[in-house]
Amino acid sequence: MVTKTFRTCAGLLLLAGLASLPVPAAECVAAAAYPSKPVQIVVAFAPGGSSDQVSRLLATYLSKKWGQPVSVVNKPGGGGVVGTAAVAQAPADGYTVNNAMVNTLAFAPAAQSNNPYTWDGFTYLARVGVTPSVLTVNAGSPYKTAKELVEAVKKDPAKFKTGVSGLAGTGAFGIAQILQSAGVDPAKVDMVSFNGGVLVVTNLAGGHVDFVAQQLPEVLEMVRAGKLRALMHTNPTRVKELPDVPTSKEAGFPAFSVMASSGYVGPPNLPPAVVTKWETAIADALKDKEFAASLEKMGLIASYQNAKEFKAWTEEQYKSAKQLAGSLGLKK
Amino acid sequence: MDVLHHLATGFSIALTPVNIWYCFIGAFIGTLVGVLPGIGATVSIAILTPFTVGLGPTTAIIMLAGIYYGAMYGGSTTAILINIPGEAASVATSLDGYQMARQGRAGPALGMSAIASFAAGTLSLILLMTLAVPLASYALRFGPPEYFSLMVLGLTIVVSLVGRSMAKGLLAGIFGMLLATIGMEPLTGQGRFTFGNVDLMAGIDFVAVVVGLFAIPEVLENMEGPSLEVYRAKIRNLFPTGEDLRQSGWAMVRSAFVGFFIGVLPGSSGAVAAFMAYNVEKNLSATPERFGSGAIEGVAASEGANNAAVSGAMVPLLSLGIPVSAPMAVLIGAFMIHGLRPGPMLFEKSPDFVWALIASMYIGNVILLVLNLPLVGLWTQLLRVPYPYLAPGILVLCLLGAYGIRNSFFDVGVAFAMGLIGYAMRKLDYPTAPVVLALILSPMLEDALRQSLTISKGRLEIFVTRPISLALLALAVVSVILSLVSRRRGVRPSGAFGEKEK
Repeated sequence: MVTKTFRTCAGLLLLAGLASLPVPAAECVAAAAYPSKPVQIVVAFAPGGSSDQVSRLLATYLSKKWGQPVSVVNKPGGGGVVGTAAVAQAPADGYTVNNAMVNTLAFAPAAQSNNPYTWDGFTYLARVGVTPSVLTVNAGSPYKTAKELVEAVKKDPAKFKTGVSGLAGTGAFGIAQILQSAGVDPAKVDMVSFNGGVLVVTNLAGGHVDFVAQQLPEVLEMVRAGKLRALMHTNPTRVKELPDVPTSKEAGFPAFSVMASSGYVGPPNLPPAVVTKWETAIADALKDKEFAASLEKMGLIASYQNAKEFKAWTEEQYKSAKQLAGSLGLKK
Repeated sequence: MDVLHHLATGFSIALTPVNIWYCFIGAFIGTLVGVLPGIGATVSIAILTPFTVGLGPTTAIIMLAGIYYGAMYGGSTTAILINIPGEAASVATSLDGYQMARQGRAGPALGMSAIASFAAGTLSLILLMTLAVPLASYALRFGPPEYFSLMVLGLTIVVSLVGRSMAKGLLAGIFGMLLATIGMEPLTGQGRFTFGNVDLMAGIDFVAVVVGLFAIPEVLENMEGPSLEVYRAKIRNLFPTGEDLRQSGWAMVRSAFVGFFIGVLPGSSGAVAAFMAYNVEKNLSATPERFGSGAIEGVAASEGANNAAVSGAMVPLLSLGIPVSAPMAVLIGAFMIHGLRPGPMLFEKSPDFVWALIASMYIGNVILLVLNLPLVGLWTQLLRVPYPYLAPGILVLCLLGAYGIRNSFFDVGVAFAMGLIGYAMRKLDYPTAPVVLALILSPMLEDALRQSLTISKGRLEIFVTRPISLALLALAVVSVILSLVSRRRGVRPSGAFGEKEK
């Protein structure tokens, strides 16, 4: 029955599209209240990453809330670009959405020529949370504060090596923000790129690189154990996991602001009813104690934005990334 | 002794009925998903993690870890029976295992893979217990130059996989390296050989290539024969004979060491460990020409090593919080959901949990042995199915595997294309194993090379001025020499490796 309604609606919409008739699309959506069939969340990364974990958690929550199965489909590859591109081209019915990270949504289109989608080629739904970046050195490093480190880098940039995970990621952009604001050309510092944040941190702990700006959960336990030292982070306020580490503003580098984010987007031109449904659902999820607690355990700081705010924030990230990409020698 | 005391505590927790039960469930699920190509340990752990929230953290992790090493047991089944290595780690197993199955010795091959997994798995756990803490810093000393040299060492294995013609073998290896360059360039993310195609940006997936090169040509070729008796010989016995065990004894011990120490290194994998152990056995063997045409030590070495690598991978996970491989990364996620923070302080903060997990792995290995040996009889029955019925099933399994790994139809197309290429390669007497080995190793080789040269500002000396790197390069030279010598020694260069068996 439900499928039939859906098909009729789809058929009508198609006809309307062909003949450009003003058939009331909104009525169709209302006829089969969203979601009337299973919803897929596409995760553009392999299982186990933050994108996957958050989505599986949310899928469980939404299945209960909506009474429709919400499932996670992993489409990894190409640093997240492949899965994201697939969603950009999916039918605009709200049954295929994407867990979008700032890397895939804003950085890839900003830094890569021939990226298969643009940052604004999506319907924004809502942002769930953010993960601050942390400027970190090995515990054996002589630099105790961000100022000391940056001064030393300024004196002799060629002496330093930094570890990043790809040049178009939060790590590389964070370092570029710090260096640029201190008047150092980021291209002068050697950037060693590793396949994933875990390997960046491993190589920092092993002394193979001098400093990194990876995400909080990646460095947290090593910092707590005294193997690494955190100098500052990009959260606007102090984080309770590392209460003694100053924010970038306090440390004197307000330009260091890049954050990883986790939010949801769909293909362009989703019906407004779908957007509202997701905004409400994610806002409610963040109020749910169990959900919020699990989120915290994953190292994601809950930071809700509705569709409009999320889109505006992403645009800002895109613009800043475009400027930084140039300084890192990534051509567009 | 401190370790024994801790272990006793660990066993007292792991041996409670609840924990044994969940250990069993984990091992059982692991065996099942290991058998099916395309559904690996990674996905299964990710899917099941949310359902473990109600269990206690120790119980939950015992079960999820069981899936991981259970999958290593299960992965050999299709590799041996129908030449579909479901995951990278069992490619080396299929080289000799499948030949054994064709000779009617599927039972001993499957039995040996269970026994070797058990023996090497248990031995490597002893290494884990005694060496975890000192080894953690050894893992950290492996920087990019060391990885580069390790990958060079790995690539020298191509020499022992080349088959009759060295030139054709090396060409196959280069083809594998070229396949690995397709996709996003790792530093800047620009596409290479992608022609603006989104699917090509994701690169060529390993599973699609391996089913394409191994399983599909096998089916095609078997369909050519006038009689479709693929598994020609009668199924002789179900379990390895005393002679088999004698032949494989040392292979199990050596593979435990090789697998464990490779497993400790973040970024390497069970596949590298399995190939290395296989290579060691072939080079040390008095009859290297048997390898590739059904040498049981080859199966023992590969299976032993990929299980020992799991224990090795526990070292950086438990002592530093570093996941070595994809399934480990998912396991870390599960740790966090259960409020355990994997990191340098886990041993100190949650000793009961760590030791219960290690103890449960001993128990899990016993469970897997008991579980898998009776299954051998069942699996070998499968080979009695007439080939015309079996063949479509094999093809379906291949394509499901290719699709399942990334939910992509493009990968199914790749599997078909590789199937045709693999068929042509067989007809022209090109070995296929070097393609797969090069495909696995080259991305790591490329990363490590670029990283090393960034660190050294373009100077190549970095590879010989660092002692570990120099030692690995020296080993690579020794490995090539040994392979060449054992090639000479063989009456006739090895038979199979994708070549036609006459």
